[in-house]
Amino acid sequence: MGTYAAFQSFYEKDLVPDLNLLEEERKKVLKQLVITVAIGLVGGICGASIYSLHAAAVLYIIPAAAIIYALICYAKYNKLKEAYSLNFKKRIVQRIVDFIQPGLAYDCDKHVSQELFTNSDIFRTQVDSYVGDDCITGTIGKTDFTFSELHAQHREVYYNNGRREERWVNIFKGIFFVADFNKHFNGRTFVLPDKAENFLGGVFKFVQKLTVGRGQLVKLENVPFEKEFVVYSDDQIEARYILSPALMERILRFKQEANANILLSFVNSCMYLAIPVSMDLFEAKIFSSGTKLEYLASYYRYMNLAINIIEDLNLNTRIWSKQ
Amino acid sequence: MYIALGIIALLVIMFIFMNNSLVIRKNAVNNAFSSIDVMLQKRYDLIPNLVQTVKAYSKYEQETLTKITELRTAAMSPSATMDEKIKTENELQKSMGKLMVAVENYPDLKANQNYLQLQGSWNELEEQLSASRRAFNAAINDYNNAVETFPTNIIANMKHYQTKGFFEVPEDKKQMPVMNL
Repeated sequence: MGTYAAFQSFYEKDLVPDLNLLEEERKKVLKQLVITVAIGLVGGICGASIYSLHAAAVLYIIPAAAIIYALICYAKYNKLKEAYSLNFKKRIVQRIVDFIQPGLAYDCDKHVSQELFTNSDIFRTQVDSYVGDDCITGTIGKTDFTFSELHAQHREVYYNNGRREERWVNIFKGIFFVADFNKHFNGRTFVLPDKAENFLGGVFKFVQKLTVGRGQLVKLENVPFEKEFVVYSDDQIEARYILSPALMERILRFKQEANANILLSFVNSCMYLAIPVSMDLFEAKIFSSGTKLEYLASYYRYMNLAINIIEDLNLNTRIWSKQ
Repeated sequence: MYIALGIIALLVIMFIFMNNSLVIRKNAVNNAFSSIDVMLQKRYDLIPNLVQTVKAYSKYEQETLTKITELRTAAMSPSATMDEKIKTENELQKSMGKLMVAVENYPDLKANQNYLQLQGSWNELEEQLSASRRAFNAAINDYNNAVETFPTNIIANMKHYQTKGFFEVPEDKKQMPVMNL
């Protein structure tokens, strides 16, 4: 596992040559997009001019041909974009993963299954759209884990002046992490962002929804932890068995490092961790240069953060009966 | 007349609520305490196996092993009060710590699968015991707050409820090297 300084040197030595090649591809994609838009615009302007000048109907062939050609160009653009995106993931993201921790399986098309997402019981709103990519699976030490980028949404129906309308509401967008926990337990324990902290943030209702029916409130002795999180569990002792003083400290540190309102659940001897991230991660850029270090640094940061969870939360310590 | 009746009804309801909340907290303390007892019992059950396994490999730790067996018997005695139990428990803890350190000198024992399993169970029970202790202290804190704060302290005084002490970890245990769990 490398530090950021090691990543910088890795970037300069290993990634830059590939990034330069990808930059050529990106320019081609962009060029194709410009051509598509230009032809589409020409077709549109031609059509509008013919219509406004009341010219002969036969002349509509010109804009029609232009628009058909623009559509062909658009299809080509999409193909180029997909190839570029795939190349980026294979040549760059895969290598960042290998750099952080060799031996992990990376699949750019897969994601954490909806079954695991539901099992976590962190989010209880009905999921109507569930997409994700960049799945990483593996074992570090004795701990099996998987994580990916996820975007789960709920379709909300509402009535505006008697008219039925729909809108998509985000349930979760970010990195969803699942790992085998180092202790056996039977109950369910939830570590959620503190209500009071979120009250002013306007997501009070959302947090309320998160906490209803989650068992008893567990008051823990770590004051900074209690300020940041609210803990619910169906077993007071088991919650404390899971959340040892050392783990509480580690979760707090991890939250600071992630700089996000992380949510955790401990169900069926597994740990589920959701890190909300608003940006799209591990995607190739099209409209700006993709060769800059700063651009890859945020991907590295999130990837490093997720892969290091095992170490950060010390899940490899297997001194209990669960090996 | 109605106002007076209303006030009385309100006071009665308040009394019932406060009384119930006190009883619930008192019961929560008892419940948390009994889980500590359950964990201790589980640990006592594990000791004979652990002693037998260590005995088979080491001939030099007899004194510690005998002491552990004696302490276990004392702790399990039905006539032992809770204070006595806690005292014996702390002694037992000390002897077990000594034994775990001594085991480091016996590589064969350290590699023994049965011993490793027992050690895992022991660590787990330690962690569960620590969790029970923390849950007990949280229940005590809740109870003591109710006994000392207004208006529940009025009922607590009427019922002769008194604050209870926390389950303290012995000083020498605090000083033992802490595993980074």
